[in-house]
Amino acid sequence: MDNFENEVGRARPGIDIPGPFFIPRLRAALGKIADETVANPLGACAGWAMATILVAFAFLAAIGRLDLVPDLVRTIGNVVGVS
Amino acid sequence: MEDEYNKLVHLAKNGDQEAFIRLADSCKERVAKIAFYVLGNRDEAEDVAQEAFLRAFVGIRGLKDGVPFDLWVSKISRNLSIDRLRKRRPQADPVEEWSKENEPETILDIREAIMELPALFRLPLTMLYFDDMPTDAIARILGVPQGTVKSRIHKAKEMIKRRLGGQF
Repeated sequence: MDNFENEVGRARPGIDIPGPFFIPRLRAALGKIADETVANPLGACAGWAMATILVAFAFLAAIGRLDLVPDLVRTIGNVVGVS
Repeated sequence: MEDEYNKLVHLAKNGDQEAFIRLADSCKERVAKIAFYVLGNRDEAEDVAQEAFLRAFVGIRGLKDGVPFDLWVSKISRNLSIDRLRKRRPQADPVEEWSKENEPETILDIREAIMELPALFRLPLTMLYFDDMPTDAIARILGVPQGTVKSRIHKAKEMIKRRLGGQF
């Protein structure tokens, strides 16, 4: 290591970051996220619905019946009222 | 040690908040410092680090096997910092934020020169010389090949030497 590199190493800022409240603040924010997830059943329903649709696609692919995908899309459309 | 780490990652992926906190606690300095080296502002760096961990918590199921948690969150922190840097000009004098009293003039000059580098060159240089990170880890965080990291560091050093004239 040459003189220049030593000097750059010495220029390392003596700063303590993050501060002592970083983890408590993070803990509080994570708790809030968890609470919102619990308090938002609609979001949870949407998640489960999406997962179910993906499983259905995967099932059709597994049994080699991707020709049924348009029917599946139409059925989903009817359920959510967009077609 | 590695078993413990893998266990924490596994638990965190299954929504265990305490496991996630322990992982975050183990790498918070690195994640915050990366933001600080990009932004040059302590408060902003802490905010970015918080956001990086929150995004990591929400997306941890997407963490691929074999990708270390600390490098993954560091990359999120780096991306968020660059985004924030693009949206603003530095408000505080970053060199002042970095400095302690009674430091030699040479050190202050080097810091000023480093802070004036474009973030593209400043970040790998500070990660190597200030945090002693290996170049392969820097490459993973920056999402570029190791050779690119080395050439950016080389170029950064040349720019600093030029800026400081005959001091080196």
